Amino acid sequence: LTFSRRQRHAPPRKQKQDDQTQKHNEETPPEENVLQNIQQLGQSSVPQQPESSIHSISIIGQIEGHMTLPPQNKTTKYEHVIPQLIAVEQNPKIEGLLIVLNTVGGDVEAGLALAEMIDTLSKPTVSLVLGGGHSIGVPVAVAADYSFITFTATMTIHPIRLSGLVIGVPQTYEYLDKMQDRVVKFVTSHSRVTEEKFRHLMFCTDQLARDIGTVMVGEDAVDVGLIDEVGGLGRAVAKLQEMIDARQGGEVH
Amino acid sequence: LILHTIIPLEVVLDGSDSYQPVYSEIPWKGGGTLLVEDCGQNSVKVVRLLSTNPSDYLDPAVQPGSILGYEGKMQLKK
Repeated sequence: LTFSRRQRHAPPRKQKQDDQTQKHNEETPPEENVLQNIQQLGQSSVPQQPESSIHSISIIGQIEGHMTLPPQNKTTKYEHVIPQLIAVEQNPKIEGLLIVLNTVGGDVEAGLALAEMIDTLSKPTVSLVLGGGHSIGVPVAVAADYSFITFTATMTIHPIRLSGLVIGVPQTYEYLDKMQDRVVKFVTSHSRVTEEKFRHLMFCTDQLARDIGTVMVGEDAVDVGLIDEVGGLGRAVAKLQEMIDARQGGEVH
Repeated sequence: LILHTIIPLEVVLDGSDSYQPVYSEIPWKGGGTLLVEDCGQNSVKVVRLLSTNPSDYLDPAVQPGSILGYEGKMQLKK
């Protein structure tokens, strides 16, 4: 408590506050003055730090695409993340991007769109799978230049099910198969896992109770070649910095 | 539209019939237009930012779901 109080009354802020209070004393009745004070107490000051050269994007909950999901879903809206990725690519002050994933899947098109954007970003990208990177989160995780998974994080690989289809297109087997091929091709061409192995994991029958597929915990994902390394925040940021340094070294010659 | 998720579809879509939010558009000081949902008590929830400047999207104040307060009366166009 003492710490936060001291922060709140840091010299520059305090002076500003005093000026404002003084102004208010002249202009407003006392009740409003109290309210003014309360509003100001609600502001916390953030420790100053030098501007960061890396940016991070967290992809959490459902990846929301063409349809607004009901409010009980926690979602990552892809229409907001895409321009952010453009800004990261274009802003000269940003040198690298850390993508933190804790997602349960979501819209196929939105997930693939994010994955393609991350993949084609010219700056170094590192992904970190924290709690889970399931279903369509898998291509997003492997899209980064280098990927990490924490020791306890899980990734579920399973086919795009018929139940996952919402009205709008002919519900044929061929259509679903094609959609699935898009995901499989992206994942296998952006990680060390082979197409044969990935399809085997996808159609495994003895892992999930009510579905076919495979759940992989931390090291399993690295063993099959889906993710590059088991590691946490420290390793991910260090790796990103390493890649930034290497890139800058290469440019100078 | 296909959802590829480990969450059962009925859980994801639960309540989607009754969920009919009312959005309104307001100009944003940082540039562009905000699509917002009225939360009452002089505050609105950001649904979407509409801007052609990619750097506008890096502003934490307009992340979808963040609450913005406003003073006085604002006529929200529906």
